[in-house]
Amino acid sequence: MSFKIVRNINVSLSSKNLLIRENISQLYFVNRHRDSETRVTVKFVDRGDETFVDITELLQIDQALSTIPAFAQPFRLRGYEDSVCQTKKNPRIQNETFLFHLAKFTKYDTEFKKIDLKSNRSYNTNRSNT
Amino acid sequence: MYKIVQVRNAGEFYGLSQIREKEYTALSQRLEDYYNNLSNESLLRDNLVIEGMPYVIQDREKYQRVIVK
Repeated sequence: MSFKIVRNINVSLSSKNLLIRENISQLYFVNRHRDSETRVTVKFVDRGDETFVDITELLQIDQALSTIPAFAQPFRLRGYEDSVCQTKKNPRIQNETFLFHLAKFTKYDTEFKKIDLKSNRSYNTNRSNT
Repeated sequence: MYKIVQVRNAGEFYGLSQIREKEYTALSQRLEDYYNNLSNESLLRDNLVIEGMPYVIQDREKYQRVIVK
């Protein structure tokens, strides 16, 4: 059984672009299929983490289930530079619930929204970075 | 109110809106109901995998929505 993986399509999942996406994917389907490759990285849209799966594990998603906006929404703390963050984990963030307000998210938003952190406890974002 | 569900690094994380927590539970249930009655229709048509498109995979005993990176 051969599989084809379509690469490098900038996909927007808004309904406006569905038709365009279909046309593009046909094009890439012809030009860029790779039969030898059977493993892909996938992102859990409702949890935020990623994993590596064989494409035989992928199941077709039901239309009704695919239209529900992703539950895991990405946030970036304002004032934290990428160079400082790197891969350092901050356990203090994980264990607290924060209050913040933000603009609406679109269906599968991957851009990190910049936020200022406000906690019900007094929380010093600068200290947590040391 | 958002609950932190995944920390990517010191400054970036994923949050789940508490308003949507029930909706998330409902989605998990719907996925389970749908894919536990697995038929051939759920397998990939045309064996075509498109980057950025949503699919479902089984992660331990739960079904999860994913997008191909």
